[in-house]
Amino acid sequence: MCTGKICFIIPPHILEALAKQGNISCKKALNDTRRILSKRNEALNNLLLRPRAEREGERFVYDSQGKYEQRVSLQRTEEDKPSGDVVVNQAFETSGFVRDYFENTFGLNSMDNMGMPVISNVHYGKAYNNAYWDGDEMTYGDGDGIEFKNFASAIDVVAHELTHGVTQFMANLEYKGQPGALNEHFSDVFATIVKQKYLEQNIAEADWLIGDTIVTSAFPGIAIRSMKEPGSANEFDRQPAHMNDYYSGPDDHYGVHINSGIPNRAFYLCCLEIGIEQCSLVWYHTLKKLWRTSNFQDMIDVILDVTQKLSSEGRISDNATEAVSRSFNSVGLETQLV
Amino acid sequence: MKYKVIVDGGFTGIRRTYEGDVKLKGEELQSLIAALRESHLPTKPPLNDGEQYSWFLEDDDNTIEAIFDEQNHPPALRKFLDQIKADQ
Repeated sequence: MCTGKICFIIPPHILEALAKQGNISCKKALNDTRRILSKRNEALNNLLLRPRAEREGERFVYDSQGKYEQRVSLQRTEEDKPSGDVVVNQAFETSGFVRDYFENTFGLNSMDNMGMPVISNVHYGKAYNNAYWDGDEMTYGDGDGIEFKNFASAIDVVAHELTHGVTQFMANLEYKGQPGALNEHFSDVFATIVKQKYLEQNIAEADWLIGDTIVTSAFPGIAIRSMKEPGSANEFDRQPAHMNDYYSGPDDHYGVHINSGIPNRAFYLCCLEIGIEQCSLVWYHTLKKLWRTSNFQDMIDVILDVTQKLSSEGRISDNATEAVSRSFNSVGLETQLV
Repeated sequence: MKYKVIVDGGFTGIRRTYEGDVKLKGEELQSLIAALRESHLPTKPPLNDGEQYSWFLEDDDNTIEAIFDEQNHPPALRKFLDQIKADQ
């Protein structure tokens, strides 16, 4: 039996009943159980309360147990052995891989660069077909088992959600209209990059799909989105690949998951020209320089500045600025090189 | 009573519509109506990849419409939506 953060072979209410009847060994067992629980809680609290500078993005995975609630039952921390729940272990491993990618590539200490804990909630809700970032932590549904399955198992979904955290502490792009579409774009960009790293693929081998492993064979499509061909991933996919088809309606917070297809396609085209490593550097430093209300034109202005600077420092190739410019021009976003 | 629920946004960005007729007892109906009126309360900012729920209830007397973001979606409406999905 498990309650919250600790498991018992003999349920505590039985131990209590026997202890009340004078059973000495049950009294001792009950006291030991309380002591262990208290010690564990103290250790966890100390971990969460450590000064920010000492933190290193420790992972915590909670089981929502089918409720629409977060942090219901803590299942795994850095100190724990693998859980008996495969989904808990998948969330733990994938979130660690993404955290390590940002640290090893850019020196980023967790999402806030101050080592904030990487908290995941799995088994959220009933047949819940979604995953989200709420400002502090990630939450994953199991899917309905008909068209969607286990969102926490997919490296690109986890990378997408965790990147929302990175974005929050850098540009903090507001979640509507073009700033929201850019927010979604950066999450898809790093989801794609991390996925290719995780699968040890190069850009020719990669499928450039987002969410291909969370859809079942009954789903009318092959994935949720395509960076290569926005609008082609499934029969509901409304993503445009060009500004000519820009969505200006109110759905989806004025198209945050829709219009992200436009810069997504530009990123794909740019990767073909200068490679994904250079693009990751350019996009990361661009994200650092954007602000809450940045629109597509602001992004172009900033990304060209960033690319020129990185190029002048010899960190990326000389032709990178032209490549970035061409990529955005190809999707109908005009650029002016200085 | 007729109902229509549109679920929009979320990680998948796929728009889903659920509609039909349902007979509710007095208490159940009152609970739903009370939950729908919560949309008049102040809301928190939208979550990244949170879903958006648009509700329409219609009976002989009146029509009620309300929109909720993920974090403001009342438990009574979640429960009703789960039941609708399970029955389909």
